[in-house]
Amino acid sequence: MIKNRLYLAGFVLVISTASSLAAQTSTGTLTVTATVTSSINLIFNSDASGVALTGSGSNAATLALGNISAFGTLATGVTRPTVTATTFTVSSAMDVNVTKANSTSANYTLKAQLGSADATNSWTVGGVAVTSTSAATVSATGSYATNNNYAVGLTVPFATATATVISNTVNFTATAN
Amino acid sequence: MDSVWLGILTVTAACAALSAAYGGQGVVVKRGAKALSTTISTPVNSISVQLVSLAEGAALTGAAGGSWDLDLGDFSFTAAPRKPNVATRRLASSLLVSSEFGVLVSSSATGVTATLLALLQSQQAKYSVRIDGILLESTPVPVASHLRTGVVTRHRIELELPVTLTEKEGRLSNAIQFSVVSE
Repeated sequence: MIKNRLYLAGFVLVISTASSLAAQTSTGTLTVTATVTSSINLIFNSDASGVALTGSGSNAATLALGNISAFGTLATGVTRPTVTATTFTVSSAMDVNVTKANSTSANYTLKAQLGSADATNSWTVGGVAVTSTSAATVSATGSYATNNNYAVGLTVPFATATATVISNTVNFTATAN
Repeated sequence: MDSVWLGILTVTAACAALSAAYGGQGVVVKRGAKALSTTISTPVNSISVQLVSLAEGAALTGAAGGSWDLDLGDFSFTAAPRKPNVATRRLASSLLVSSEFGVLVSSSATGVTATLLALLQSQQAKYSVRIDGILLESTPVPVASHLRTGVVTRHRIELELPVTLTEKEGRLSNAIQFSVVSE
C-alpha cells in the first residue's frame, strides 16, 4: 500500500515538472552601439550634350575626345568654342554628381587638379584653368545629388604635330561645406 | 517519524537532478502516519539564454547579469566598416549594418525547445533594428522558434540607417532584450 502511494507521489511530481517547464522563460539583454559618420560620394556621369564617358556612374571615368583639330570635323559631343591665331580649344561637357549621407552639409566645394604637368596645352574645367601645381576651385557651392554640368576644355597650339596623343588626368575633390 | 528520501529509481533520479539544479528541494515522505503523508516541494525548473560570440560575427563582451555588449564600431555610407566581421550594404537611401551572433538556450530538462523573442528597449523612429530580418519593436516579437537546448544557433542583427540620419544623431546605443520561452 505504501509502495503504491510512493509511486503515485512520483507520478504527481513528474506531472508537476512538465507543467512548470511549459511556463519557463529567461531573458538576456544585448546593448548595441554604433557610430555613424557623415560622408559624401562623387561620381561622374555622361552629359547629354557631351561625349559619353567610359566609366560613367563611377568615380573613375574616361573622357575620350577622339581626333581633334582646329578646323576639321569633331566627334559627336565635342565642340570647338574658340580658335585663335595660334591655338584652338575643344570642349566636352560632363556631369559631376556628389551625394551626401548622414550629413547636415548644405553644399560642397569642388576642386580640380591635373594629374601631371602639361607645358604645352592648357586645360579648363567649367571655365576655370586647371594645372598640376595646385587644385583650382571649380565650384564653391556645389549642389548635392544633382548632375552639375562642367565643360572640360583643352587648348592646343597649332604647333602641335599631327597625330600627337594628348592625355592627362584631372583629379576632382569634393569637400563638404 | 523518520524522514526519508524516495527510493523509487525513476522518480528519485528526476528529483536528484532537480535538487542539484534548484537548491536541494526534493520529495520528502513521512513514514508512520496512518495515511502516508506526502510533501512535494514543486521544483522550480528553469530555462536560460546566453548570447555568444561567433567567429563570423563581431565580438560580444560582458555577460555579467545576463547583459552583453555589441559594438559595431564606426561606419559611413561610403567607407568600409572598421570593425572585423561587421558588414555594410548600401541601399538607395539607407545603409544596412549587420553582424552575426549566437544564442545558446540551456535547460536542466532534456528535449526542451524554446522560442526566442526580442524587443527593442528604446523604439527609434530614426533607424530600425532587425533580428534575422524581423523588425524589432517595443513589444516582444518572436524571432526564432524550436531552438534546441544546448545548441548554439546563428542569428543576424541588422541596423538600417537612413542617409538622413545626421552625424549629430550618429552615436547609436540601444538595448535588445531577448527572452526564451520553453515550447
